[in-house]
Amino acid sequence: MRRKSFSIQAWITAAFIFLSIIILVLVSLLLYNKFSVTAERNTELNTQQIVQQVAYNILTYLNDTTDTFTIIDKKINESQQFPYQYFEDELHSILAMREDIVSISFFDRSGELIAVSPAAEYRKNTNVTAQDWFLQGLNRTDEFSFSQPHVQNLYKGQYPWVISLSKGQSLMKDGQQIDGVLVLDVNFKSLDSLMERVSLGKKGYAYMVDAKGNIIYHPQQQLIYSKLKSENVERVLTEADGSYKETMNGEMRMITVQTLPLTGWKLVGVSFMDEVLTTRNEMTTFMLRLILAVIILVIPLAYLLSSKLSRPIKQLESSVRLLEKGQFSSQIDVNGYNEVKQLSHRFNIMVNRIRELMSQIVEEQEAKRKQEFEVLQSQINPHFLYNTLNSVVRLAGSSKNEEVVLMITSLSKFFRISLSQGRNIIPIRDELEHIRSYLTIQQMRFKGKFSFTIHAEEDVLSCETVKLVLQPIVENSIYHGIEKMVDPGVITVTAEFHHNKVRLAVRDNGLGMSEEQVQGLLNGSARKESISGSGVGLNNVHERIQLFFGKSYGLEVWSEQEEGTEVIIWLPKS
Amino acid sequence: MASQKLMKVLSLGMLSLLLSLSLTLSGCSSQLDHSEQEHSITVAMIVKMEKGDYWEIVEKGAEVAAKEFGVNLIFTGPEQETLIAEQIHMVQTAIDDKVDAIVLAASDYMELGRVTDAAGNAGIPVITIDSEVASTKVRSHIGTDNYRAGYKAGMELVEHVGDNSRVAVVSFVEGAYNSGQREEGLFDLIAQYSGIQVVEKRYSYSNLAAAKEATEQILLEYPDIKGIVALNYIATAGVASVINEKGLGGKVKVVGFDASSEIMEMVQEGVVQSTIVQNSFTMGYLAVKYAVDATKGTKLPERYDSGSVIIDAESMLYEENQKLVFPFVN
Repeated sequence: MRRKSFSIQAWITAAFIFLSIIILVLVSLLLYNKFSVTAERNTELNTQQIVQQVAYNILTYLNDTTDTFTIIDKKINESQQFPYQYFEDELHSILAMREDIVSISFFDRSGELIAVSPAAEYRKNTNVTAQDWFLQGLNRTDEFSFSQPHVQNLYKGQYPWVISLSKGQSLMKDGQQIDGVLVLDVNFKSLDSLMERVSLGKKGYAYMVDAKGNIIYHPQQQLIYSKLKSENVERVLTEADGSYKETMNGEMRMITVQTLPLTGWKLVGVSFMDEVLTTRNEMTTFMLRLILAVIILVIPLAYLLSSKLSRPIKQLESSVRLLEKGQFSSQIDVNGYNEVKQLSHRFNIMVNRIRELMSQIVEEQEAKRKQEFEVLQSQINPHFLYNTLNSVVRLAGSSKNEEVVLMITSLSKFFRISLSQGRNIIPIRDELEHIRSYLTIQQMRFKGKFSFTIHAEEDVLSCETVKLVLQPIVENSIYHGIEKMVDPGVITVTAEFHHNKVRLAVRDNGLGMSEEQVQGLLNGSARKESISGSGVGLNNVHERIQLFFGKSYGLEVWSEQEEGTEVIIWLPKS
Repeated sequence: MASQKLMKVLSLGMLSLLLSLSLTLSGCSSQLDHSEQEHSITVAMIVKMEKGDYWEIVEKGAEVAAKEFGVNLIFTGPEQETLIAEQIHMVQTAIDDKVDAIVLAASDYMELGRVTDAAGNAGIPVITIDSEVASTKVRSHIGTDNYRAGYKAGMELVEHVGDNSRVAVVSFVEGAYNSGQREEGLFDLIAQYSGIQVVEKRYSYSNLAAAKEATEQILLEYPDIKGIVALNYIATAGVASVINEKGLGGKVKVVGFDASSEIMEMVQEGVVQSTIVQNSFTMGYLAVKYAVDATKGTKLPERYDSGSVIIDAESMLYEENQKLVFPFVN
C-alpha cells in the first residue's frame, strides 16, 4: 500500500503537515511583526525614560548648586565682605556638605584674585580675563550664568574639570568697593560619571550640547575634536524634545532629545537601531528553528495519525480485494469511525444480496436443466410412441393405407418439430404444426371421439414460443376432458394478439375441473395423474415460459365443470 | 489487538524520543548560536608601559572603540619601557592565545620584529601604534608623525632660545623607532640654524630618576645651556622638575612632549615653554577600529597620522585642547 504514491495516508500526512506549517508560519509572522514593532517602541520608550531620568538627575544637581550659589551670593550682598568671619563658618559647613565644590573665588574687573575660599595657592598665567565665565560674570550683575565644563587652572595641586557659576558682584575691602566677578566652581566629575553611566543598549550613549550647539559633553569628545566623529547637532537644535531616527555613516540611530531648563542645555541620547534589529534577527532564527522543530515533530505525528485514520479504509479495501478474488463468504468486520462502519455494514448487506442472487441463479439454472430434461423425456415418450405404432399396426391390418400414411406422416412431423434440432425456442407456426400432428394422431387413435380446429392470425405465426407448450395442455384436454365424455368433444386451438401479447388458447368442451383441480394443475401436484400422458405437467409449461420470458407471461386456466376448460398461454410479442 | 497496543506504545515512545531529541537539538543549536553571538573579536593591545597617563589615555580610547565595535579588549604592557623581553613575551602569549588581532606599541624597533613576523605568520593581523616595528607583517601604523613632531619641537625651541645658543636633548629609549624619528626631525630643523649647537644627547630610558639625573649632569656640564628638548613625557617631567627645583624656570627653556598634570603645571609656571601633545586617545581608538577592520579583511591605510598639537600656557585653555591635554575628569 505504501508503494502507492498517493494513498489516502499520504494525503492525510501531507495535509496535516501543510496545515501545521501554514498555521505556524502565520502565527510566527504575526508574532514576529508584533514583536519587532514592540521592540522598537520599547527601545524608544526605554531611551526616553533613561534620558529623562538623567536629565532629571542633572537638573537636580544643577538646582542644588544654584541654591548654594544663591545663598553665598546673598550673604555677600548683605555683608559686602568676603571672606568674612561669620560667613566663613557657614561656608565651611556648606563646603563640607558639598564635596564637589572646588572653590569660591572673587576676581576684580581686571582679573586679579581678591579672595578665595577655601584658601589655595594661586597659579601664574591663569588667563582669567579670557575665560568664558569671567566675561559672562562681568556683564551680568543681576543673574548668574553657567559655564561649559572646562579645566580649572586657577589653583595649584591639580587641574579639575569644573562647571563655573558666575555673577557680577561687588564687596568692600579696606573701605573700598571693589566690583568684580564671583565664581563658584563645582567639580564636573559627578555630572561626567552620570553621563558616562548612561548606557543605551550596548553601543548607545548620551551627549550634551549647549543652547548654541556646542558639544559640552561627549563620551568621545577627542574623536569629535579630531574630526573622526561628528554629531548632527543642527538637527538636535531644531527638533523638539522627543525621539527621531536618523541615519549616520550608514547606521540607523534613534536620537532622543531632552532640554534641561535653567541652562538651556540639551541632553541627547543616541541608541543604535541595529541592536533592536539584532534582537529581531534572534527572533527570526528562533522562529525558523521553531518551524523546523515543529516539522520534525509533526511528520511522525502526522504519519501516526494518518495511519490510524486510514486503517479502516485500508481494511475495507483489502476486504473488497478478497471479494474481487471471489471469496464471497468473507464478512467485513471493520471497526472504525461511523462512516466506515456504515460502509462496511452496507457492503456486507450487498455481499449477502449478491450471494443470495447467485444461489438463486444456480437454483434456476438447475430447474431449467431439470425441465429441459423432462421435456427431452417427453419428446421420446415411449408410451405415446407405442400407442401410436400400435394404432398404425391396427390400421395397416385393416388395410387402411391412407390412414396409415397420414398417421405415419403426422408422427414423423410430430417428432421432427419435437426435436427441432435441439432448439428451445421455435416459431408459433411450428408449434401449431406440431399440435396439429399430435391432434391428428390422437383423433385417429380415438376414432373421431373429438374434432379439433386451429385458428391463427397470420402475424402471430412468426412470433416465438418455448417449444412443446401446447402438447401437454392438449393432452390434458384429451385425457381428462374429453376421453371420459359421452358426447363428441371439440378442441379449439387459437393463436392471436391480445393487448400487445401473444395469446394461445386451448379450449375444450370436456368435463371441466374443480377449483382445486385447477390449482393442482398449476402447482404440479396433479402430476402423477398425467403419468399416462407425456409426463409433463402444466406447471412445467408454466415455469418454462416464465423462465424464458419472465413473470408476466405463463399460463391461465379457466374451467367450469361440465362446461369445459380453457387454458391460455401468454407469450411476448416479438 | 495485542500488536495494536504494542504499536501504540511504540509510537508513543518514538514520539517522546523525537520530542526530546528536537528539544535538545534546538537547545544545543541555540546555545551554539549564543556563543557565536558572544564570540566577539578579541584584540590584544600591548603597549610600552602598563601605567602612565599617556598609555592610560590610549587605553581609554581603545575602550571606547571596544564598546562601539563589541571588542573584547586585553590591555597589557610591561612595567617599564625598557623591559623589551617582557614585551616580546607578551606578544608571544597573545599569539598563543590565538587572539584575533594585536595592537602593538613596540618598545624596540628591531627586537620586536621577529615576534611580529610570528604573529603575521600565525594569521593574526598586527596594528602598530605610537612607535613602529621592523616587520613587513604590520597591517597599519597609527601614530604621531614623529619626524614632524620632532621638527615642531625644534621650531618651538628656536622660537624660545633664539638662533645662537647651546641646547641639549633628553631622548628616551635608544632603539625605539619614534624617539629616533623625533630626534631626526629635531636635528633636521636645528641644522638649519648654524648658531644653535646641540651639545649633549642623553637617554632617560623612560625612567624619571634617569631623566632627572641626565638633566642635572647636563646643567652641571654646560652651565650656559639655553634650552633642553625632552622627547617624551617622562623625560619632560624629569627635565622640568630639575629646572624648577633649581629655580632656572624661564632661564633654561624647555620644550617637551606629551601632557600630564605635572607637565601642565610646569607649562603654566613657565618652566616648560611648550609641549608637543600627541592624540593618544585617537591612537587607541583607531587602533582597535583598524584591528576590527583587519579581522574583517578590510583594506587599511598603511599609516595614519593621529596628529600632534603644540601646547603652551595660552593654548592649553583652548576649548578644543582641554580634552586633549586633560583627558581625565578628576
